[in-house]
Parts: sequence; C-alpha cells; structure tokens
Amino acid sequence: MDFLKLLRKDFKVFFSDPASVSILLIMPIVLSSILSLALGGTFSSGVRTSPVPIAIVKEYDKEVDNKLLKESFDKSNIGNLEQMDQDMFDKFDIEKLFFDGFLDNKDIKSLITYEILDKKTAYEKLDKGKVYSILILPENFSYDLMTNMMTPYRNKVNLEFIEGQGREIRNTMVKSIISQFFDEISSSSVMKNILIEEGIKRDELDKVIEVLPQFIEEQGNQNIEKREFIDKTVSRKTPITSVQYYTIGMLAMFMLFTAGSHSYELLNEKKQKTYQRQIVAGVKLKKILLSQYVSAVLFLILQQSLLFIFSRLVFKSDFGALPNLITLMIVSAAAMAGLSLLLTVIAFVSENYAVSSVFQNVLIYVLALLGGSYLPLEVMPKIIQTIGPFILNGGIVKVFIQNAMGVSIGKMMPYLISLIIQGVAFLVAGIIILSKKRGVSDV
Amino acid sequence: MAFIEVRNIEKHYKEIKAVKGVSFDIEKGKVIGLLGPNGAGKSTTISMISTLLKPDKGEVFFEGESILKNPIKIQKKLGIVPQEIALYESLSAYDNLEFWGSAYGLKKAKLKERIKEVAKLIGLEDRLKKPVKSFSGGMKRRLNIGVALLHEPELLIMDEPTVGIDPQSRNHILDTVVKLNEKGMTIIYTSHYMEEVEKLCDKIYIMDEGEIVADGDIDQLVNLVPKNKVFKIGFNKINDDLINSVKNIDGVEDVKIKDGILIIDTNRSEKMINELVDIASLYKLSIESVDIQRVNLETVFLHLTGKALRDE
Repeated sequence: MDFLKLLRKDFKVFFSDPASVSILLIMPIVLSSILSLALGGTFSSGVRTSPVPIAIVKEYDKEVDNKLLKESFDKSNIGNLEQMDQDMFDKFDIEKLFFDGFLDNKDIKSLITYEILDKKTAYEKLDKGKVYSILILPENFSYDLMTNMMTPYRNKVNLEFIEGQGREIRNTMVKSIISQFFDEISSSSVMKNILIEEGIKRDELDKVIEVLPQFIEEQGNQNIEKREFIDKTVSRKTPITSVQYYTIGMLAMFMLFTAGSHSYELLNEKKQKTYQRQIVAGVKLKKILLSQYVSAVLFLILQQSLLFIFSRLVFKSDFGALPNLITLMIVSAAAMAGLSLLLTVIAFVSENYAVSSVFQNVLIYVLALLGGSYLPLEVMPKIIQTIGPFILNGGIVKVFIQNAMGVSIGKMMPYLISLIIQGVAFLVAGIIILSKKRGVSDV
Repeated sequence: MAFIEVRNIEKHYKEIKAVKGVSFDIEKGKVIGLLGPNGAGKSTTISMISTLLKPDKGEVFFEGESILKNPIKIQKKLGIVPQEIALYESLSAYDNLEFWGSAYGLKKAKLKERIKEVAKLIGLEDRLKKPVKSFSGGMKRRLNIGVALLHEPELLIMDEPTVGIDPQSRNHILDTVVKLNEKGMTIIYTSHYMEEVEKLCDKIYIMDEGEIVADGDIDQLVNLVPKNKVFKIGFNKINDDLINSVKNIDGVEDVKIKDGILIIDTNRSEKMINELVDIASLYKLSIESVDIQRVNLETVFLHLTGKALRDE
C-alpha cells in the first residue's frame, strides 16, 4: 500500500474528531494567552507592556557631595590625584551612571520606570499604589560612592528600598536589577583597592597612581555598557516575555497531550477491526506504526507552528532564529512522537487504554510541572531545576526558551542530545515491547 | 486440487481450545456455509484461513500453496467482510472505499472506476460523500461488503454479514452474494441464520465447540435426522410426572426442556397433540403454546448438538 495514502488516512481520522483537534490546537493558544496576561508580572520582561513604577528619593545634594569630594582629594595624602581633571569627574559621575547610563537605558526602562520625588510625595504615591516601591538614595550618596571608587577609602552606603504591599514578586525583580548595578560599582571599587594595595606592597604606588585614572575610566565605561546590565538581570540572561514563556510552556504540555491522544489510535483500530482488515489486505504492521509515528510528528509540528504563528502575530513575540526554531520543532516533535509510539504499543499489546489514560489524566500534569510549563524552573526547588530540563517536555521548554533568548544551537546541544536520546529510547522500548508481547503473525 | 484445503487446524486461547482439528476442502466457485452458534469456532477458523491468525497446528493451502509460507498470494485474492463494521466511521463512504482500495493496491483511474462500480453494486452511489457515521446499520453493512469487493477478489469471506440489519438490507446483501457467486466468486459464508445458509450455500459445515460436527448439502444434512417432527409445547408448569408421561407416549423418541418449553422429538403425526392434551388434563396443567416443526437445519443442529443455533 502507498504509504502516503496510509498517512493521509491517519491524518483524516485524527482531524475528523473536532473535540480532540480543538483541544490540541486551540486550547494551547487560549491557555498560553490567558497565562501570559495573568502571570506576566512574574517575569522580568513581562513588564515590557507595564514596567514597574518606582519612586526615587534623593537625600543627597550632588553639588555638596562634589565639593566634599574635591576637598577630600585636596587633603588626601595618597598621592597626586590632580591628574584626574574635570573631564574625569564627569566620566565617573555616579549620578550620571545610575540615572542616565542605567535607569534610562532602553532595556531597563522596559522593566522599571522611575520618578524622582520628595519623600512625602513618594510615600503618598506608594500608599495609593501609583508606585510599587521607593528607593531612597541616602545623604552623601554621590560622595560616598565616588570616594569608594576614586580613593582607597571605603564608605558605607545604606540604600533604602521600601516596598508596597502585594507587589512582592515585581519588587523582588526591581531590587535584584538595582542591586546588580551597585554590585558592579562595589566590585570595581574592590578591584581598585587591590590595585593600590598591590602597589604599596611592591613599593610601586607611584606607578599605580599613574594608571589609576585610566583604570577608573575603564570601570566607568564598563558600567555604562548597556549589555553588561541587561545580561546580569535576575536570570542573568536576555529576558523573555511572559507571552514567550507561556507559549512555550503550554506548547510543551499540549505536545504531551498530543502524544497521549495519538496513543489511542492503533488500539481503536484494533477494536474496530480496521487494523485486522489492513493486515489481511497485506499492509504490514511496521508500515502502520510508521504512519502512526509520522502522523504524530506532523501533527506536533502543526501544533507548534500554529501556536508560534499566533503568538507572533498577536503578541509580536519573537522565538529566535527561524532556521534554529525549525530544527528545534522537528527534533522535539520527533522525540515526542517517540513517546507517543511507545504508549501506542503499550496500549496495543495490552489491549487496554489504562496506561494512556493514566498518562493523559495524571502524568501529563506532573510532567508539565516538572518541565516548567506552569512556572519557570528558576522558582522551583533545586532538584526540579536540575532534572526538569532533562525530562522530555522540560527539555523542549528549555531549548525553545534558549532559542528565544538568542542562545546558539551549539550551546543548547546537551538538551538537544537529551531529547534525541529520549526519542530514540522510546522508539526502541516500543519495538522491544512489541516484539516480546506479540506473536509472530497473530494480531 | 481444491481451491482451498484446510488441514487439521487448531487454535488455542490460553486454556480454551477454540478450534480443534478442523479439516475441509473448498472448490472454486462454490458458496460454503459455516453454521454454528456463537463460540462455535467459525470466526477463528476463517481468521486462520484469511491469514489473520496463525494456527497452532495444521495447515491451510490456497491453490496448493501453504498460506503460512506465502500469505501474500491469498491476501491478494481475498476479500474479507468482518462481522464488525470495520470502517472509518468518521470518514465519508468515498474516503473509505478509496483507502481500502489503496490498501489492496488499486491506483488512480482503476481505483476510481472500481469505487464507482462497487458503489453501484451496493446501492450507495448517492451517499458516497456522506460520513459513514450518518448511515443506517444496513447501509454500513453494505459498505462493509463493498470494501471487500474493490479489488475483485476470487475468494470472499463473509463473517455474519447480516447481523442486526433490516430485512430490506438483508435481502440486498443476499442478492449481492448470489450475483457475485454467479460471476464465479468463491464465497465462505458464516451465519447462525439457517435460512440464509439454506438459500446461499452449496455445501454447509456445521460447527460446534471448535469442531465440524457434520457437513454436506442441505439434503444430506436433513437426512442425518430421522424424518421426525419436533413438537414444542409450552405448559404452565413442567414437572417430572409430565415428562415421564410424555416419554411414555408411543412414538416419542426424545424429550428435552429448553426455556420452559417441552421439546418432543417424535415420529408421530400432528394427531399426537390429543394425547398431550389428555396428559395435561391428568396433571391439571394447561397448554399455553404449540409449535410443530418439520426437519430443517435448525432441527439438524439441535439433533446433532442438543443446542439451538441462536439465542432468541
């Protein structure tokens, strides 16, 4: 028999059940849309459409701080820092770095919007929910940080972060992003002190002081570098939107449903005697199984394509480089169809739907949780974070998310290899079960 | 050399011996009937002939060649009509015919031509685009047969093809079988409707509990039973006194009870009913129903196995 006719029949039969098709094709779209909109706040870039509003209270006076700093330099006995001209001060202006270089950066602005307010107004707005939190930059903020950066001294800077109620998750993200900035400043300061201490030890302080302005300038430039900050947000990766995340999460879960649904087909045929009729007509079991496998792969690819296209058109989501995306779609569909075939064989040889039914009604929900379909693995216990990406659906979530984040195929290879191994293992297990349980020619 | 030679085939399902050493020959162009109640082993026997099941013992030869060694030969020339509606009910009649035609290796123009011819033969030309699930039971049965005829098989196996359908569809199917046989097709027909087997079959094999208990044409089988009559008498109550008294009537050869009915095998005429009325009066019983039957396949089967062909 012509294989394509067999495949066409399998596809037609599958599509002739409107309930199954709508569940497998429409439900992922509906659910991913609902979850994306409802849980967008848990994602760093879920705020792309609604950045977190915060108030910043400046308790310092920059003019006063600069004056103090110059006076400190004049009294300093660490050496001649006069080499640092006004231009140098400007280049390493902490206020400029924080507001212009960091908070006004395009990517950060998509996550956090701020307004500089006095303390009273800031609290009023916090109470009314117009801002989610207040960041208080303390007295001598500029002076202390500039001192830390430009002198061997280290002044303590106490930032205050006041959070509004009910915004914990989004405020945690804001705190994390802002901390990242100050961690960078702090590490630059430490590096500079190590440089000076090393100079003293080697009795080469003069040489250190000569290169110090250049070192400070480099640190400043590094901090202004946009990608540095963006790459070191909460997840330390290019953020993805909640729409992207839940499109992928729901896709992985509904791919499991497709695998489960498909696994009923061959036993259905056996019970309806269409399978036996095919065998008597000379159609080989291996051809029937191959058709089941290929139709599952094609349906899974269709399912993926519809969801990605919908998300792209409606939410303008980007799922990464298209050639890579297509590769991932094929690999993940082939692996998932392997699972489907194993379930198909189990149902077929045992002549009951129990395993498929348990898979559909219980196991999928557990796997979806472990694989990160409901919540990102980053918020899960460590053990789940470790195993999640290496279970079938977890691996699928991982590679699609990595692709959306711009990670190269090479870097996601461990997960891809894991998917391929799992797909092959399912197929081999299916073949072994079939050959052990089935008589030579009996059906 | 017979068209099909079945040699001592056996099949077990765990502890149950479904077929116990069945042998028979089928001549080309004949209609063979396999008659027996549910569980007699008819379907298992035809499953082994059709290559669906492998016999635990024995052999089946098709045109002199073992079907175990070369199943493809019989598969190409065999059409099978299973007892179940083995169709894709969510697909249209046309899609079903197209798929099954392809399964039998038909392609393009030939496939279209055969779909048209078969649709006409089974009387479904106007319903081809409709989904099978919208069909009546009789229409589904006709399509079930049509699917088996697409590749113009030389051998057609029909496993109870008229179960659960209206008289009109049944007649259509029986007429179709006659037409196909007239064109030279060999047919194996299983049923537990004796009138169908009587009408269609050149030779009948009666099966019970996995064995062939008798075979021959209608006349040969009827001759197996003495030219007796069977009286089926319904009494309001049956007791041992009644049974013993009936057994003592002159000419009564056997008395059985089935479903509260006394079944009396006798060489006497209808006049024996007067004696039965007297016995009923004696024991203060009343007669509620009377059915006097001539010998037919049902009687033969009852005579051979002590069972009715079907539960009704």
